[in-house]
Amino acid sequence: MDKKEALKILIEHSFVFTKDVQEKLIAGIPAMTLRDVDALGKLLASLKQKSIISYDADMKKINQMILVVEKEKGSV
Amino acid sequence: MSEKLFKSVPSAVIERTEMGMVGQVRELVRLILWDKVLRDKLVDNPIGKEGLDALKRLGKNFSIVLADSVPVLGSVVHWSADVLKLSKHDATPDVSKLTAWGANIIDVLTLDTIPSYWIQAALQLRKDLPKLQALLKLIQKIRTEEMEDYEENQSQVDGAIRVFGTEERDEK
Repeated sequence: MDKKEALKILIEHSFVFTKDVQEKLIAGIPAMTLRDVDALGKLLASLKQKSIISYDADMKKINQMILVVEKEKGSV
Repeated sequence: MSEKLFKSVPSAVIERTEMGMVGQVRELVRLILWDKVLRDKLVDNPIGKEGLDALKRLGKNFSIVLADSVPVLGSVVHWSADVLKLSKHDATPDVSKLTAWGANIIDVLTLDTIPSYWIQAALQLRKDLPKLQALLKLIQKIRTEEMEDYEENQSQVDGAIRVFGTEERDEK
């Protein structure tokens, strides 16, 4: 897989952009310099990785918060 | 000395804030502040925006309730909050002016020994809790969708991540 292909995949599966921006970025990949491809690719890859790693811990926290808010709703 | 300075904040308020809600809200704020992408997504969504506004109000009102427990200074903060009801910075928009300003009668009757702001803060919290819950469910939905998408396309996405070499760097 070359860097432009990898960037396309990361843009397609990124939750950072709106659909519109996603499409524009993908359309712009052929014209991007390798330096830009590298910079955007590294950013998206690290964001995706961070999100995957913290998913379980974040969901546990969120579920706990929902329970506390639910309990408070019954008592306020 | 400090015990004498502070008025009696109802223990139920302390329990609900210090032990329960505040800890959880602090976690929520940390989660949202830490994740700029998530924050931007929440601001773009009407439920998210409403929930974030509720979260800001909760922080503001909690600070005012605490300040209101300090004699004199507390009253100044409380009355300032009451005056702000006339502006867009109102921290209790779901509480009527009559109720909010009427609660000051308690200050007069009790010679300012009870921090009466907690009444309007509690009324606002009752309205804001469903918004906070909707915010949390929205965060849950965004994160779940992202994870489901990742699981469906894991080999492809992992391959793309490897191309940019972040895996090796993060493992160090």
